[in-house]
This record gives sequence, C-alpha cells and structure tokens, in this order.
Amino acid sequence: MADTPDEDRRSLIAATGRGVLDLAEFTGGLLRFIGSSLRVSLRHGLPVRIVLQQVYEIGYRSLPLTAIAAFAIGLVMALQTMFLLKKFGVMQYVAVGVGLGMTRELGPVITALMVAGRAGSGISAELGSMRVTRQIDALRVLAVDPERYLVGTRIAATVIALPLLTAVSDILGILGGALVATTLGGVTPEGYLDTTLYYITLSDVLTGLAKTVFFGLIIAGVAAYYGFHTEGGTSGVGRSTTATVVVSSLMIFVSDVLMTQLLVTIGY
Amino acid sequence: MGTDEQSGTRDLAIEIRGLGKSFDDNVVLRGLDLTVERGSTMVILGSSGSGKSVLVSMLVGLLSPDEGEVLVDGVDVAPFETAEQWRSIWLKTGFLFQGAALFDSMTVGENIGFPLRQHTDLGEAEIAERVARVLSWIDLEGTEGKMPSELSGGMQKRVGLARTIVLEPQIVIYDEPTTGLDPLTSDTISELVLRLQKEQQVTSVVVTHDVRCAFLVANRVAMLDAGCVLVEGSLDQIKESPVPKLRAFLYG
Repeated sequence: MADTPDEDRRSLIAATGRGVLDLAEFTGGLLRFIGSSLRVSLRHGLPVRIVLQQVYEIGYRSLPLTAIAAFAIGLVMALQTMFLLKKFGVMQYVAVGVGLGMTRELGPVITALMVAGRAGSGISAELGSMRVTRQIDALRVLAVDPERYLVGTRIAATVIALPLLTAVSDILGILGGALVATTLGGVTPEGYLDTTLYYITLSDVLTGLAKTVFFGLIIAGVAAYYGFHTEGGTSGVGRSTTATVVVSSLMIFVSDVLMTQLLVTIGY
Repeated sequence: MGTDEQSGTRDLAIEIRGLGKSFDDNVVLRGLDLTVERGSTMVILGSSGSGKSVLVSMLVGLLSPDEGEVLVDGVDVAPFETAEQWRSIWLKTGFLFQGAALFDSMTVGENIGFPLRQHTDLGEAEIAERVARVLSWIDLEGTEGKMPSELSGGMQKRVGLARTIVLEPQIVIYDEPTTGLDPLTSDTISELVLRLQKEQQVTSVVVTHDVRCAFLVANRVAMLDAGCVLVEGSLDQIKESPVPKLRAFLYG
C-alpha cells in the first residue's frame, strides 16, 4: 500500500533530522580529534625531523601538480577575461583580473584542492593502513602518543607547506596570465608586470595565504581523522581515502566562503 | 587447581580480579580472575572468540575494562584513562602483536631502534650497537637495512620481538606469537620466548591456541571459556587435567 502524504512528510523530517545529527556528531568528533592532537603536540612539542620529512612529502612532492594546475588556471583566466576586456579596449587590465583572482581566491583554493586530493588522501591511506595493521596500537604500547607523532606532525607540515605552495601557485598563475596576454593580447611584458605590481597589494597576497593556514588544518585534520578511524581492513582504507577527499574538498569550499565574507566585512 | 596458593604470599606481576568486558550485547569476559607470578610464563589458552586477546589488550590499555581490577606490578590500571597514566606501565611492559605490527615505512634497524630513540638519550652509535646485539640474539644479524616487507612472517615476528624487548621490559605479553607460522618457525619463536624468560627472568603472558607452543613455554596455563577461566594450573596439572573441554582442546 502506498504511503500517505503524512507518512512521507514524517519520514522526510526523520531523515533530515538523522542527517543533521550525523553531521553534528561528525563535526564534534573531528573538532575533538584535532583539538586533542594540537593540545598534546603543543604540550610536548613535535619531532622536528618528522615534521620536515612530512613537509617534503606533503609540500615538495605536491609541487609539480599544484604548479601545473596554477599555471593552467592563469592561462585560462587570461583567455576568458581578454575576450571581455578587448570589447572595452582596456586589454592591459587583464593583469588585474588574473592577479587578484589568483592571489585572493584561485591560488589558495586550487592549491588546497590539489593538496587535499594528493597529500590528504595519502595521509588517510597511510594512517588507515597503520590502523588496520595495528601499527598505531604498537606506537601506543611503545609509549609514543600517536596523536602527537602521527597527527600533530602532519597537521604542522600541511600548515607550513600549503602557504608556501600557494605562494608558488600565485606566481605561476600570474606568469600563465602574462604568457597569454603578451602572446595573444598584445600587452608588453613590462606593461603586464607594472599593472600587476600597481594593482595587486601585499594585503591581497597575505589574505589569500592566511586562508591556506585554515585549509591546511582542514586537509590534514580530516585526513588523519578518517585514517585513525578506519575499520574493515583494506576496503576500509579505500573508504577512508575517498571520504577524506570528498569531505575536505567540501570543507575547503565552505570555509572559503565564510573566510572571504569575514575578510570583506573587516575591510580586506 | 592452583587455587590453594594465596596471592598474598606470592610475588605477583599481574593480578586480575572480577574482570568484565562487553561489546554492546556481546559479553566477552565475565568476572575473570587470574594471577601471574613474577618471572614465570603464563599461557592463556582458548578457542577463537574466548576473550584471550581482549584480556591482554586490557593489560596494556588498548581496551578499558567495564568492571574489575587489573593490577600490573601492584598498580590498578583499570581506572586509567590517559596516556600519561599508562606511560610508566608501557615502559616496563612489552607487547608482541599477532601480526608483529612493524612500522612498514622504517627499516628493521629503525624499527628496533625506535623505542631507544624515543625513550633514551643514547647516541646513534650506541643505538646501532644495541640494535645489532638484539638482532644477533634473535639470529638475524645484518638485517638492519632491510624493510619489513622483505622479511618472511617468522622473521617479522622475531623483529617484532626484538623491538618489544629492546628497552628490557619486566613483563612481555605475546598475542598469538606463532599463529600463521609453520611448525619449525613456531618452535623458533617459542624457544625465543623461553630463552627470554630464562636469561632475563622476564614475566611472560602468552595468549595462544597453539598447544605445541603452550607446552614448550608454559610454567602455568589458564584456559578461558565463555569469558571465565575454565581451569588454571601448572603445565603438568593441565596435561593431566580431567576437564573434558580442556582435554578436547589439548588432545583433539
């Protein structure tokens, strides 16, 4: 027998309620996990050698991917904006569109998404494998706190690496724009550089880089959370890795909107 | 069997009283009592799902009991909640995992040297010397540079044991040390357990369903059944026990 409209409505409300409760439970668990890892890391300090090793793994090894993505975005932005600017005869302002877009928004977000896809999934898979093979338990019974040794080090490394990668992305994006503007738009290299330096302020660059500190925290925190809570053997590792990329990407977008709104409100 | 001795007159490394643990509706341990004398080897036998691994996980803080007392070296660890509370117990207790749980991103030498780097002020030369000495003890000299994935299951277990004992713990807990190994390799592991107890007077708790291993290493044996100790006694007492379930487990 078909459900009545009242029953449909009730089941829809129940499903929505369950979804909200699940989201609240996940968010609470994630915040507790990150908070406890940061607390123990701050209290006892972090092993510098491991942090540097992770900066190399998460940062340097992500560089080719983030560099190519940023350069391509710079090229595309210039191609898209030149079409419009040409109509108004202000082609030299292509440098403004590319520069502002890259430093304030696309540089940080694209770099964070690339790092979430490459390094976030790597952290989740590594810690997930360690969970299912009991290496995390082994750390614990060897009196080494895994939240500090595994999570704190990866959060610190991502928070250090992401702004550096983003700075490189900003430069490469602007260079990508310059390549298009000078070869196809008739803008001189000197003109492009002068316009960029005139209109793009240090504040534009720094507000973009500031966002990446939060993005780094989100990427490493979510990846470590899913890795640490992996269940169900190797298939569980796969599920954790997928969830890491999906959830951290969504959180990057949502936090970007909130941070941009906040920065605009306070005048940056 | 074995209940005639009063715990007050013996030097106990581990004393468990009224231990209970459930997972949702599944009661795994119900009011379990067990004692382990210092310097002896207690083998805990039991079929799969009898609660052996849950029991030893609670000795090192990987699980928390729902009820009861767990005294390790006279300290009740049952109410412990933080890593700080567990730290002193962890430093004097070694735990060999069923799958060895070697850190697969580290070499054999780095795995064994890891506890020394974390908890001692030894220099690299001294650490290398200690690692070489422990590797020689487990008959795996010169394997410092190998990765765990390059080793056989038995070699991984031996390296796991080397990492467990490198800090010279007073108590070593073995979770299924011979599971998945051929009889000859199992005997090698059993001999190492025996040597460790004889040479260093280590208190050992061996969880296993391998009767051959139990007969090789045990001073005393406890058999778990339905979350309780079904029977407990010296190895000779256990071998002669008339308890049908135990005889069926030991002799088929």
